[in-house]
Amino acid sequence: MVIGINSTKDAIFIAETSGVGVAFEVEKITRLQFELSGSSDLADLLKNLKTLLAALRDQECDTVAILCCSAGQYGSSLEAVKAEAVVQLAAHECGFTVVGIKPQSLKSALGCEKGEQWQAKSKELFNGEGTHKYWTQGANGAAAAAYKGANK
Amino acid sequence: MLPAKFTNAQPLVPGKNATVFRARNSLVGRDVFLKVYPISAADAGSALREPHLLTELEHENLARIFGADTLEDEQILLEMELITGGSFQQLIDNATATGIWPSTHTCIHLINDVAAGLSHLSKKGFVHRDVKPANLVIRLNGEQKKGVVTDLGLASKLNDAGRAFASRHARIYRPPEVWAGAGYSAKSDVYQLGIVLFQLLGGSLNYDLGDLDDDDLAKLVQDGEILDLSTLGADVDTPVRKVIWAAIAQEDARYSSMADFLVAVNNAKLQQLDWVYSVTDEGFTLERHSGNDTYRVEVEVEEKRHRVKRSKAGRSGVFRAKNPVTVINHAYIGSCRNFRQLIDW
Repeated sequence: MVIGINSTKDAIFIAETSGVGVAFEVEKITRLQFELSGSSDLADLLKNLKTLLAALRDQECDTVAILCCSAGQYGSSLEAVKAEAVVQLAAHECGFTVVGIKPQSLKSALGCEKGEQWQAKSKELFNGEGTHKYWTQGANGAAAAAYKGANK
Repeated sequence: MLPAKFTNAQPLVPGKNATVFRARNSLVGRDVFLKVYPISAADAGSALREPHLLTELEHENLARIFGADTLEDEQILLEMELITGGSFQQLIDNATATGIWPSTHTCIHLINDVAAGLSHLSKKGFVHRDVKPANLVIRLNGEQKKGVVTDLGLASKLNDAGRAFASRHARIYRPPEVWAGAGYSAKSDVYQLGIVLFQLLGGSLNYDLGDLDDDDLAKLVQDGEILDLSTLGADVDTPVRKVIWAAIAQEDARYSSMADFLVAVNNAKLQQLDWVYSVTDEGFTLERHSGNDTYRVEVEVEEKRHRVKRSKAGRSGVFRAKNPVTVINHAYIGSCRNFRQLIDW
């Protein structure tokens, strides 16, 4: 079982998954919102993440796949970058093996066709039937990272 | 008789089953909290449950234990962290007496802390079973306040089916599944913490209901009528109300774990302005600070209408609600869409 995590500018998406390959499934998506306006906000985020990840950590669930933020003009927001660092710290402190997944690698990992975006493919593969009610772009990233992490 | 290393022992208000002191451990130069209670001849092991649990379950939001001793007169002594910020019960009592409630974010933050501690307990396979304001305390760290869970004396290991049975805890906090004979589960602590959140946010829990006989009280709890959400403070916005509602729901509709409750509380907090709610003779006021600005809303509640005066950074005005409400209580006004629009500026 691999946990996939994707940080955005105002929320962290956590995908609890099971299986590998064709048996891979997203069991649950959790959206943890955050605001990084004050000095204590980072500490609060770290604490909440540690509580969440510690609750999931067991012998069968020991890997966290983190979708890395991207750089450049159209890269991730500063808040997302900070949140990713907090996620890495929380996962490490909870005893998980942390795997970084680059967004550029998801097209081939998910088997996208030419011109197809990995986000659309992720939704099709992991929530094609709409099982998860509030599926967003953030969930696409978390699920895709977990999929690649599970199939490494 | 306390061991000689403890000096300046001052008795504190005793609990149901224990005598408690504040003292100084002169060997290590630390102020400590001492708890002394009898060892039952019939079940000596149960006296050690709390120290064993606290040692095993070390977490920043659970009370810390430094050591345990047996005393000559068949009593056990626990040496614990001295937590000086008072209990949630004192916070509620103080707010009820003065009419000034802690800010919404402070309350939610404290609940968030406690949820982290209880989530740790749950992860280790235990259920607290006695989550109530008197058993939750505030650790002061400079200006920061941290919610801490104490009194694990009634905590129980969940069995293979995820249940635990029998407890002597406060009847009014007993969840519906326990009244139905199904015992406690990890979700039972969520239910109890949901009630505490309700109380911290100005909700009134009628302790007299605890005098009802079992059948009547069980019916109230199982029908979801133990809490009157209309007593919540007017500052409490819909997302937080929904969290309380979902936390005290029947077991199958409740948050599936303490961690899920924590996420919901955290997310609701971000949609809630940080008001301080104060009850006045005429009605109530809400006040919050943002940067250098102070936002203030004064509400005069009359029999069939409410009159709202709001001010921000020296500018003020009086606004009469467009649709005067016919049911007057603070929480109802607080939940009205036009009132929320009025104060969301």
